[in-house]
Amino acid sequence: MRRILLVLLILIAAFGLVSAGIYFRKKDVSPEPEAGTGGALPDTSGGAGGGGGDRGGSAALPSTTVLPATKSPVVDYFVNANGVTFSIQPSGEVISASTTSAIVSSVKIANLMDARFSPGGTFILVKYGDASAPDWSVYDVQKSSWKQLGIEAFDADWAPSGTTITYIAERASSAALTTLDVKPAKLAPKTLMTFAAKDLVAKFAGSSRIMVFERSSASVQGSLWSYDLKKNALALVYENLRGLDLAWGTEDRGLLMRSKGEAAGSAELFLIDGEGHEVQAFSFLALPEKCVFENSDFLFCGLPKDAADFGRRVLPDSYRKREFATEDALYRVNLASGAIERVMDETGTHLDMTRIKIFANDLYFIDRKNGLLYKIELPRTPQQ
Amino acid sequence: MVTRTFLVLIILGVLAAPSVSIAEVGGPRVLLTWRADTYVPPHYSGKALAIANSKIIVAVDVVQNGRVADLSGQTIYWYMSDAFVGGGPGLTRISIAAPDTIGKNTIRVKVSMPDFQGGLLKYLTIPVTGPQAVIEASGGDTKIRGNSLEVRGWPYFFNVHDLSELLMSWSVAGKKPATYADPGTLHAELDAAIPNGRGVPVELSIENPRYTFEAASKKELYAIER
Repeated sequence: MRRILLVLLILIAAFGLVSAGIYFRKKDVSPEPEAGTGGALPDTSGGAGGGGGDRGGSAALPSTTVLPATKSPVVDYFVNANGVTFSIQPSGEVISASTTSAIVSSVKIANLMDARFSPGGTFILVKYGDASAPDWSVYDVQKSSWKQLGIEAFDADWAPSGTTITYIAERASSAALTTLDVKPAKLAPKTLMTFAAKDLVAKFAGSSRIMVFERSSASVQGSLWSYDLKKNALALVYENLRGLDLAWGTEDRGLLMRSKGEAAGSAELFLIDGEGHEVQAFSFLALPEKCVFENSDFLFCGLPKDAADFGRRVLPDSYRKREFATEDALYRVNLASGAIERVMDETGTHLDMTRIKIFANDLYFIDRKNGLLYKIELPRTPQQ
Repeated sequence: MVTRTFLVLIILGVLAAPSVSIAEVGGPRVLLTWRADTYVPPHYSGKALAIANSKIIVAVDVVQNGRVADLSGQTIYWYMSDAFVGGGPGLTRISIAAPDTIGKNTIRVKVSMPDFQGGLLKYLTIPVTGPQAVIEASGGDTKIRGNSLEVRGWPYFFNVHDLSELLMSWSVAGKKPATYADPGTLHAELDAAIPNGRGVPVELSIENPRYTFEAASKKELYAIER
């Protein structure tokens, strides 16, 4: 009898261990990311009630001036190794500019909604037409020719290198995670996975993963999934995420912003690894689209000068709706040490930085307010 | 001796169980998604939210072992606010309508698959908000430098597919501008006699003529700074 009791006790204890294991495993699978872990960066919020001001860590700033690199608004741009700037304008015209400018493509595109240069600058992916059923085309910069893609999608994203895009193909009764190499003359979309799901977005996360998530709002909870292109498998990364916004940098580093809810002033920014898991919680707040990775160690971000006001907004919804515009200052973040430094003095400027990119030693961005392309020559430091 | 060996085997078996259980945790995951058929401007990359009377399509997927499970043979039942709204084999998508109520609300959707590996159940809360009018922040401030004012307005979350289906109107200091070619953009010439620093209220009103209460407005106060 004692032996039976002993066995039962051992079984109960073991069951408890198993249950605890399951509980903590579950916590790992779908946590609400917790702030303050992993060596948070210095507080740069500008202090309580602060209207911006210096974010600390900055010494004497270079007297670099920010000058427009274009005279007219652009939707997207690319700068090649020879310093020639290619840009696509809201009209759809493609312009090249160095010492002089020239029209590369004079084709006008009605209702141009978005355009994105491929990572190597050889193609421009263009979304246009009816917003409820957009058309997609690519412009081959080298061949100076347009090609319709014939895909049904609301978003598309370039792979970090090459000429492949990923998108969610919308079908009558399903949606398909798809990749497509736009270079071949005969296009061959590759269906990776088919869902019933509605309103999904796909983004490359390095060369071997695609992040899949529900279109986001601070009002709505969604989930983040990682599709492994080598294993052809989908895995849940996070669920119950509000206001998810993602930007990828290097092969194994990206940025994730999330909102705590509809209440204003509750968004957080995280550094994430190649699988989408949180590595570090930043103590400053920036929209991922306002940041660019210089490499695995450094990050440039356009941070609102009035950090206190920015932090009070319902993000990312309010910025996406254009309820407000930011006035940004450019900062450089050392991801290893946590040091943050202001790159230059933009006093007197009112720049709402978007589409920040680095070409050679120059940083470029588009001011969302006027659509002009700006260029900043980056300071070289011994850290590099 | 046999009893002891038996006991050790049982203990080892139980302690080895976590890997099995963890595999269960990585087992079926229900993905419930939705899309509201409401208007958002082309530049808006966020989610289109539902308002009263919006058509919403809700979809269910099950992800297991890295794959999306084939639900074509599964009986799927759908409930909205505890009321049965549809069901049948492979019914992975269903169309529902947001209730005709004024103000913020939520819809609680339940999906049930009683025959999927012992039964799966998942809940989803869909917020129902109101339509919204936005006056685009121009230049990051609300200052008028000169005597003319140009601002852009945007409707969000109306039950229409195209901007032309909405009635948009502006007022500047309580007066409607004489004409405007594009109702989404306000061009207004201000009285030069208005003193510097004076606030000029600008209001955008948007309504859907198909629904009496589907309307929104936004007011901004612009300061003249010549």
